[in-house]
Amino acid sequence: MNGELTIDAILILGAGQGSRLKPLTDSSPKPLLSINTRGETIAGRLLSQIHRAFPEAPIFMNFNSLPEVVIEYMASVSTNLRPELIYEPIRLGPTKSVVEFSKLNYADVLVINGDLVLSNTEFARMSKAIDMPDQAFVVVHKRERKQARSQVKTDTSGFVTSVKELSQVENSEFGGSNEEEVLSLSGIYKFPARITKDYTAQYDEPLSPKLIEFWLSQIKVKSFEWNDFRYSIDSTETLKRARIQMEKEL
Amino acid sequence: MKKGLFLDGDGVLWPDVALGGILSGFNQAKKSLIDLKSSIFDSENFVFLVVSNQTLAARNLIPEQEFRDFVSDFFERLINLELLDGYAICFHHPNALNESLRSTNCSCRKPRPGMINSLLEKYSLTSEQSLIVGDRITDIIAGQHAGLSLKVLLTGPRSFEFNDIYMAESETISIRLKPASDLPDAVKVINEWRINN
Repeated sequence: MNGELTIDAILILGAGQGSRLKPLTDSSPKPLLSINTRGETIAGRLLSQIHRAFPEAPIFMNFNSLPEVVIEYMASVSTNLRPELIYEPIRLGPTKSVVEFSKLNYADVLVINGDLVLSNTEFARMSKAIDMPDQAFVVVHKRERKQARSQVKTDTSGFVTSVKELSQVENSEFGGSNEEEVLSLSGIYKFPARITKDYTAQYDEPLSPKLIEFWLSQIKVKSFEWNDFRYSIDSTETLKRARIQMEKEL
Repeated sequence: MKKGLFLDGDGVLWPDVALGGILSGFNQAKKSLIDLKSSIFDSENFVFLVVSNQTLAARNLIPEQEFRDFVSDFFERLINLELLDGYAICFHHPNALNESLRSTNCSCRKPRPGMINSLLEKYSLTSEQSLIVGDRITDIIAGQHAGLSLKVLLTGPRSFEFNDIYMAESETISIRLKPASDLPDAVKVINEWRINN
């Protein structure tokens, strides 16, 4: 089954404050940071990847800071790629944004963190793996436990059996090797809105394992293991690494 | 069924200038409407409507009756030219110097949806098949409160200025919009929307 058949809308989470990327984010919201010498932005790359994979699905992006900068940029994007924007005058936080979005009239929603710089080929592979309507789907990647913020466990068929948040304290107390690799959440989720809209989210709640536990209590959650480059731009160091990778692509 | 195209005045159909762009805006409004009618690919299926906050009289810059007459003549001429189907104007302001126009609870001042709702009813339009083009977030919020399907926000330095009404009472936690760089770009967005609506 082709992935586009089971995605009704895509939401890019772009309302983060980007406080760890200051001063860059004083004049540009994180999704609009440039990732190569041609001026391509994080959001621009995501929009192209999404449109290639799901050409029929409407794309949305929420935003909060520097709203004039965001609409100026998005108004310059060609209309076939241009997302519908969701302005949050008061920042809701990722989980509340997702829950609010679930109240719109879309059955199966794909959510992508707006700070991800992703491999084109892996994105295409992932999009074809989304083949279960009305089920949840999470992308995971291997990460050293000491660096992971979450741990996902799956059965032999790739269905998620448990997910938990990993705190730094837990990691330091963990008896095994810190170099042990675990599966960690990658910031890409597909879910049925009919279930997600009933989740009670708090303001500023991160898109944490709690929401996935909520899905797990009601439906199957399939995992997809991401095997190529994926940069979550949360520091100037990761931005630098992503830019090096992007220059290789040119 | 026809679709409603709600248009803001200042900053959309004519330039937004400090002392009332409407006073010198007729020719530009006429041109904007001609351009819109010729570039929206099935414009004959749209009802063209203007919804505008106009505060020149509230600010005592023009006598109220004189301004009402001017505005009425302005839009009736556009209707006679078959460029416009209808309009609704809010003359109120919460801090109006002109007492008769001072109102904090009128239903018409955007971002309240009163003007849009009354025109939807008057022209038998559905909100799901209607859209708005504005240059301020308050236009977009009014469209959202009225349940319009598409809200197009033109870019500009004042796009996110919230007015008194919004500051006083907004409960809106998320506002959906499509950005456009100018009116011709808004037409591209509208034509794209028409493919699926």
